[in-house]
Amino acid sequence: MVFNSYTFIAFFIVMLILHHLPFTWKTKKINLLLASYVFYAAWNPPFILLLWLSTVVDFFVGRALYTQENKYKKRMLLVISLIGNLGMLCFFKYGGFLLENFVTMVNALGIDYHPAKPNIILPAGISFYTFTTLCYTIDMYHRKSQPVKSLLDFSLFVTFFPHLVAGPIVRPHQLVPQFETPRKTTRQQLMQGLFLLSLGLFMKVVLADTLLAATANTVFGFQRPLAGLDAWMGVLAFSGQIFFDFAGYSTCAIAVAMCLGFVLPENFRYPYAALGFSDFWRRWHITLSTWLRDYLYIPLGGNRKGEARTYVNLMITMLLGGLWHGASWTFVVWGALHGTYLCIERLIKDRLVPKQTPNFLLLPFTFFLVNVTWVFFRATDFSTAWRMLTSIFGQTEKGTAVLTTVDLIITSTVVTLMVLIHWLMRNTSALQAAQKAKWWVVAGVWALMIIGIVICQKSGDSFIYFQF
Amino acid sequence: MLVIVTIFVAALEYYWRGRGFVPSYNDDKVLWATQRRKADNPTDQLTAFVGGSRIKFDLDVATWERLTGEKAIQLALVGTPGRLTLRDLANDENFKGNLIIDIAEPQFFSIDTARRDKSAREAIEFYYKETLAQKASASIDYVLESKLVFLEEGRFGLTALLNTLQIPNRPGVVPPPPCPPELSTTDLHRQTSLTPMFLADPQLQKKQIAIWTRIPTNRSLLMSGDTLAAVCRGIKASIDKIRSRGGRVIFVRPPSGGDVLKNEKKFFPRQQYWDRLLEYTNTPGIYFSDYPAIANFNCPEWSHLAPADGVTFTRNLVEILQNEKGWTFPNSTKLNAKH
Repeated sequence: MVFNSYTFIAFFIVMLILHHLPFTWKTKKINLLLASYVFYAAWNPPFILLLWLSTVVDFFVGRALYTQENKYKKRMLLVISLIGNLGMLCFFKYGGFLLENFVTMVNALGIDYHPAKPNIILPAGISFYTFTTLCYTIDMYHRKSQPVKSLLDFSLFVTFFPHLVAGPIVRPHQLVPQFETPRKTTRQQLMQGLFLLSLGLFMKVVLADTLLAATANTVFGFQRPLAGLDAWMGVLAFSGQIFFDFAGYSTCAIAVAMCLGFVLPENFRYPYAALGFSDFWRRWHITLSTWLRDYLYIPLGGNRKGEARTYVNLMITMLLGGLWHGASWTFVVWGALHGTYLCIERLIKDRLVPKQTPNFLLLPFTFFLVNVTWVFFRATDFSTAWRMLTSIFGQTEKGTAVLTTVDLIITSTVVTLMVLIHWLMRNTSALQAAQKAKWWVVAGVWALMIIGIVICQKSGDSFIYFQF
Repeated sequence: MLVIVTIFVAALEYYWRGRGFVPSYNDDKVLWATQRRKADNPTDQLTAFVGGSRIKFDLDVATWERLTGEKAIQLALVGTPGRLTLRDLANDENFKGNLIIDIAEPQFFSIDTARRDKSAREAIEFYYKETLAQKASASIDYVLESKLVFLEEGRFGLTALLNTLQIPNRPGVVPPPPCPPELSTTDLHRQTSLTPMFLADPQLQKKQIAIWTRIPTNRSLLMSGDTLAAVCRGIKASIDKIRSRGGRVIFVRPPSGGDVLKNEKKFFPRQQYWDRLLEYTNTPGIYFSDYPAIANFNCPEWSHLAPADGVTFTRNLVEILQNEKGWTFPNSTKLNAKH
């Protein structure tokens, strides 16, 4: 079930009513859990078994990890959890990719091996809920927090429908305490939640799907060299589309949880206002970048094992971060480029200009490189990526113009406004800005967003991050 | 906020209704998938229609069902050649029905498959991946679309409205011209019809004729020689699969008129295209001008029939199929007696 669908609106109304009826807290939690399973099963019912397996195994393994005193048994339990979670992820997400690369490799060695193509369906949200359960067992291993007492609370932590399919990726300490004690939604929370839900849907339905997606699809789907202007507009359109799509989803998730009285962590903080790449990753998909920092970069040694290892650790983290997004070498290159930018930035800060404060001129430079790098994220293969890069850097002769003047005007207007708003809002949030504004301004903006959603009528299109 | 939104929505609906529009369904991949599901039904008493817009306008589904006593499933997609849908039905073991393939030469014999097949590819992919939630959403959507005019995205959504902006494009950029919203409506069974507004307005008809005749024919994108033979081999393979399950298949070339027909004849000589298609695929066909009963219709915008003519065309087509092509409809007598 996607947030931008009539089914979800009906589902959400029922959930709001149920959650505000005078049931016991335990009954409300059971309602939420059952609703979360319905929400998930609406995609592909059999995959709910995977969710149950992951939940039950990690609940008991997590508890055993916390209480186990024997160092070796404890490690063994951690290995079981890692193999269970990552094995499931590898099979469903990377099975085909691994086989394809293996076949290429053995064929290159002269062995004639051509297995049947596996037909593996990727369960929705597996990358997200695997990371959610993984961080719990790793925390239990390090005894960073107490094990969750009830299976109901743990199941809800893993399955709570607002974050289940595409994040934000939650940590146990962020969500579990909210289930342990009864919570009541205040009127302000409900209103703020509904405002954010409108904002999230506006970002997805109007900006991403209606105004930018077609331009990005036209340009990236064009099979011949493009005119420079068209290639750039396609890249910029995708840059806006991916932000509005994913930030729109996160905003909806946070909003829906807020309407039910829960707080989910922030996932985007106006990333196109970033001054440099470390700043970008503090603003883009925050819950993934902090997860990778805490559960991959720091355990690898972070910056504690010397300069060279720091760069290696950064690169490993970003390469795996890239691969997390999809089973394709283009994602690995995307991650590698971001890793390289982070290394160069760190090198400049450490060696060349250690005390220089960030300059706003870094914004266009960061935005430029982020956009160029999106080419690898969006392109389905390297030939498309190469065609796009040669077109945007003017290395093609007689590139074809494919975008209409209306497309050019829409893309340039939306992207310019997006960057401007990111800059103006870089140190605040939508809710803070709404609280400071006059009531009639908020009402007007809110009404415009809903009117936009109504006249766009693009219900039910999937979010890009579902494929990850 | 709610007041502003309510006033806006009411005003929008009032505006479109004031201009004479009535509720119609969005002819998108969701509606297509709803019909496609009906073809996934192991009965031989159904006929599916694939191809482009002509069969959608010209074939009257209700008349077909009434005359034949069999289910009719409209799977044609505007602007597409229909070959992908043919292949999809051929590969679906559950489909045991008959198939009528609409031939409009500019679409069917174009090698520009990336563009021509786009909507068919998306619709087929959506059908196979459609989730329970999406099916439920579609059901709610149909109820709303049956009541509210402005909900039809294809004509009144923001994208459709932006596409009507008359801003000159750069040389070489030739987007498909937007048809006037008065042109057609679509019902829940994907029956598309020219609207009474359109039929009553010669200016609108002229405007639409200008749109059809301005679409350039790119000779480099026309099939010929080996490409045509290869495509026909693929079509034959699909047709053979349908026949092996007991299904009957026939090509139909519906009427067109004016300069549209003249251009089609000029760029797609019958001997080089239609005749070869029938020969290569070993499949019968009905070319409108060969049959007096369907040869003399007037297409108001030179490409599609008016709804009343669609009923006559369908009735006569069924007769031709029965009398000249050997098709039988076991339930037809029984049903005709009832009517």
